[in-house]
Amino acid sequence: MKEGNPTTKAIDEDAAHFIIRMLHKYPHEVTVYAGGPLTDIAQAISIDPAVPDLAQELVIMGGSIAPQTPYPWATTNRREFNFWWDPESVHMTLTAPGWHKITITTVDISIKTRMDKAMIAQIGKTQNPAAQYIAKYADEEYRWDELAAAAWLDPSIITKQTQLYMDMDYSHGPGYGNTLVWMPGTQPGLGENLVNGPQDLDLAKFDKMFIDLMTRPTPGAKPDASSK
Amino acid sequence: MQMISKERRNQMHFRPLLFIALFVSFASSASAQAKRKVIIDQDARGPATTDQQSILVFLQSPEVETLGITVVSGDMWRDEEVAHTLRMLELVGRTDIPVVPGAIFPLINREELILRWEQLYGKVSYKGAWNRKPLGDGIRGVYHGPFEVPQLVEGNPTTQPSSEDAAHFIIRMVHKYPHEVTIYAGGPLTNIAQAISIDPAVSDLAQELVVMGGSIAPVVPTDWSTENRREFNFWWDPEAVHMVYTAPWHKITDTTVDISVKTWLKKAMITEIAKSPNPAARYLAKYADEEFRWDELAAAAWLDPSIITKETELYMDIDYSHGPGYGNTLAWVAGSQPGLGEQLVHVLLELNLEKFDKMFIELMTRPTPKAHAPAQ
Repeated sequence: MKEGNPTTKAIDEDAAHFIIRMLHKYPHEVTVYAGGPLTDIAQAISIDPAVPDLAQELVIMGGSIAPQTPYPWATTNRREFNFWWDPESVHMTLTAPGWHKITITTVDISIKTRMDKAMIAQIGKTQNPAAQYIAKYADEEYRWDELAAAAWLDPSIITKQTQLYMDMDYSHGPGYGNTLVWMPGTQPGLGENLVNGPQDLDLAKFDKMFIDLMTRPTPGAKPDASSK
Repeated sequence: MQMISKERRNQMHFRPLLFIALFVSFASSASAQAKRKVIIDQDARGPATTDQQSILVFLQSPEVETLGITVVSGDMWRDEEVAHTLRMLELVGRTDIPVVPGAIFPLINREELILRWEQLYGKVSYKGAWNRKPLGDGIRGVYHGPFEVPQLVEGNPTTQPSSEDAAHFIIRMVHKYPHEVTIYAGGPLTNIAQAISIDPAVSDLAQELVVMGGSIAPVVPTDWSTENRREFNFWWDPEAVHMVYTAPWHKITDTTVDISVKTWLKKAMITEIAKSPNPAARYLAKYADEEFRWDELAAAAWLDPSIITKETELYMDIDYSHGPGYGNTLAWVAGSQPGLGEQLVHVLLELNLEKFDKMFIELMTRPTPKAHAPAQ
């Protein structure tokens, strides 16, 4: 790998059981943050339906409703990759009873979070390991998953939020993988949960927070033997 | 021969006897070690019924090592089924066999979904744990919620299930005994789908998959034949069937409704079995009803394939679109399948009923191998 191959190993336990075990160990204390397809979480819920209640909250980057995007993109405006990769898992996760709070960062707000070369350069001025990792390998990109994480850390960066019922089209027709949403009162009532959907953010505040986080020393870090 | 001394001749007589003695002891210890390993995955309704009776087919056979019984909701809700299984094991004296709780709900299908489906596409005659009306006998099948366990007519168990979940148990066992474990599925395939979703190596590591499920073209009365592609195990969790049937197994054997309807368990047979004082027979005597031996046949055919007189090979999958075909079995003769991962399946078509009946009575009336003192 470009950044060097790891010498450490992943743990033996599979993700579904780890999730189940952690939530039972720390009931109502653990946030489940999902920055990718929801397969692991759906597996965990299927094995142990207590998972949604035992979690403190669910934070997701996924889905797409009506993002303001250029035309080629707009032709697939209900498709977002994380959800589309495993639509059945999205349905299983979002219709599971017991979640106390679900927050979903959709494409709609993601596209307001472009990280440009200037920001990467700014971060690269600091010598700390996280900053240097970004300086070396980061590209210009929307901060899809970073925003979902940052908004959980500091909800005040979100300036506008709505509540919608959300599910997924998992029929294997032309809509397979499309995000489904309803205003409260119009949902079919087949298990859909009410979801918080951030819509707008204070970009200056988020940028400042992001640079600050990426340039600081990593808390609890041991010096890396292989760092160069 | 004349050149061989008397002493030598004595030795020559002796050595074959010694060799035979060694061979016999080796063979019996080898066959003791070479038991066929099975994980019994069941929607283990009870007391008795095809679900518990199929478990007994395995338990009553000395050539089988049952690694565990993994339990899935279907005919009943999981926790009630776990209780019936624990109690049955207590009654026959095999509480050493782990009872491992599995999925409470299907992957995606839900009672609410089916209620809506019925409004569009018509009534489903048998819905297992979702049946609103009891199954007519009053002692089992009373509608209740997923987590309730009613009082058991056969007595509540005092033993406990495993704290491990079924998916993890299946994964662990096939890794522990690669290519040696048969996975027997007598209920919906939710647990198995979970296992292969977490660990795709499971289908290769298992020795074979034996299923009771699906329905193609059974010869049945008209009211049944209007739903002739619907079989309950498959219908309860169609997505799980699709996941399992499109995974690469070394061998899949499917006992469909087509052959099940040839295996009616008559009262006379129950009475015959009831003559035996042994615990399994006592259990059937008390609780067994007339019924098709859906799951027992699938188990027995694995034990002794010679009871099957006709089988065929078909590609199989399931309709998991949520339209009118949801839960219907799909089958293709080789060459006409879509080629989207369907596996070639051995489908059992006809049996030697006399031979199966004889085998079944013999199994149910014998003492339970490896039993400790059974509960009263």
